[in-house]
Amino acid sequence: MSKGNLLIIDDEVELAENIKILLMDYADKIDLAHNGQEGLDKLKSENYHCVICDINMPIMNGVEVIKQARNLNIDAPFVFYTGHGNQDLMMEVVQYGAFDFLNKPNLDGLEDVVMRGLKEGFKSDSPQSDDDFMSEYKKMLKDL
Amino acid sequence: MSVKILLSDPNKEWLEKTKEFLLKENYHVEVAANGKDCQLKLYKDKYFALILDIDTINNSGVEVLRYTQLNCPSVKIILTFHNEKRMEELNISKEMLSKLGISSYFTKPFPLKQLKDSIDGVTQYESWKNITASSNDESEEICDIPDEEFTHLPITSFYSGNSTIFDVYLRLRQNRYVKILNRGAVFEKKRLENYHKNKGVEYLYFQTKERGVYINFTNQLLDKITPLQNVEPEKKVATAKNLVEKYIEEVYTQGIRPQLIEEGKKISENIYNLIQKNPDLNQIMLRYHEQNPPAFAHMFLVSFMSTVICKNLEWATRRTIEMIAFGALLHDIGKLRFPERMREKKKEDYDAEDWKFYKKHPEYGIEMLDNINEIPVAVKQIIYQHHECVNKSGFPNQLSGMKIYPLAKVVNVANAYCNLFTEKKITPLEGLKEFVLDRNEMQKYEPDIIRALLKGFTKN
Repeated sequence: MSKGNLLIIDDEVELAENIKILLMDYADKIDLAHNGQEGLDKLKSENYHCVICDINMPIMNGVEVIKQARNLNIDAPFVFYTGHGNQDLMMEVVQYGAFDFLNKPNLDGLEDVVMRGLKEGFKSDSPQSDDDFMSEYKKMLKDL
Repeated sequence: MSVKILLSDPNKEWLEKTKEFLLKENYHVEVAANGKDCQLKLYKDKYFALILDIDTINNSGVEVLRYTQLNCPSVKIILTFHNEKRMEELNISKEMLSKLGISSYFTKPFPLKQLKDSIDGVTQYESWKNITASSNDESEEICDIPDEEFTHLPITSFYSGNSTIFDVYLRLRQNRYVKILNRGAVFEKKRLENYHKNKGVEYLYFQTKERGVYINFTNQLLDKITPLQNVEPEKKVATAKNLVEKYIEEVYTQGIRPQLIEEGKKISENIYNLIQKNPDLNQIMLRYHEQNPPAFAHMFLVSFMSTVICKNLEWATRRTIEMIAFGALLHDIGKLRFPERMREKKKEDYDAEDWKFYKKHPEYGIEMLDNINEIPVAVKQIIYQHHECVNKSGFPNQLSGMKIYPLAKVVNVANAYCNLFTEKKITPLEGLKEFVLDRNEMQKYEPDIIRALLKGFTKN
């Protein structure tokens, strides 16, 4: 079963590498980008099911990445790192549909969040039709 | 399955002895080497109770306390001190501990049996079990106590003929009450009727510090009547009505598994209690309650229903559920900023200007929480996005499916569903059918979440 493709956008190279190792079993392919622009270029050329993105980065910050990605109709779930002092930026990315946040540097719940993100990203590849789920709901209602 | 306990204490000897004792009592016990390890364990696993020595090192006992209250508020905390003197040295009083939400504490040495009683809840909120009937002295005692120290209950929820589990008060005016019944005394039917019918009393009051006792009593009573075959369902409902808030008992009668109700309700209540301990938040909640009691009840109901949904979502951890309950309890606070003229208006009567305000309530909500520390981003996201729909028909940003925070999606479903059955005054089950069979409505929500809602009503 396919697990999906993951993109990690982070200027802290070592941390990004470590996260890649941690998440190896959860994704089919994990790519790294070390600044916002590089991340956006990768998003334009490949289909990713989930993106982990830092907010404060040189060249292009996380807010700009998600903003431009959404303008390009790239809907992949974005998971952002949170840290001290970027509350305003956090609320800004929420407007563009940030999927979730992780605390940096301890990254509690990293695996769970990424698994959910990838699953969510996958849904858009093969959406279930309205008829499918309506008949399923009807069946469940009958069983009550 | 045995109850899971986490132990943290710098004294290895005491730790081993206590562990051995608790294991013999059939608890599942885990030991944390230090404060950091304790937090890690609390993060990774679910515990019923944490037994923590205040002198825990690397992170300190206080740090662990703070972490636990914030991140796992449903964990029962039992605090221990090396001796009486240590408490004095730290300048910690009983009142302070109670303000911190510490339900039990012990100074060493103490019999370990007391620890067991505390874990099992015997020593805390179950004090109502030890009530001895007191005389029905009808004398009334006037007291000047601030309003915020009281909780009200509709007078109709008081039974005649039963001992009350707390002192009962009447409110005379702001910050002035009269005690009309002592804990343990029995309300005479005539007296109760006199207050209600002749004097027009709608609410009676008890001191908020007794709320834990009230909740525990309610839970236990429901536990007892649930399995009774010979009690008519209607009678069960009638009994519950006297003890639980109206919205919860309505759900209760419609066949949701009792354990789900208990779990969901307890989690919501724990979060609610947590909110109450934050003075700023408490202030907002109180204002909301005063301004619009039914809306306040709605937030509690949505919180409860969200936890029911979460229990059936495979990805929802306990922490997720607590965040959802927390976010759902606050989801509509932005409505406090509505102009006066909108307060009594129904949505059908909103004009264009009113709708503008209405659509801004998620934004107002997070703005109001801006200056309050310790509100997790997850909670803010829930508040901000609880009206976003997966088919982009929501507000404020018309986000599509995967751009919406998953926990906000859950609260959105719970909110819409609860609105439907409360506004139409139909039972939750009727409401569920109507909700789920509405194809247009269903396009707004994530199928996984609707499935989880339906599973919440499945009996087995």
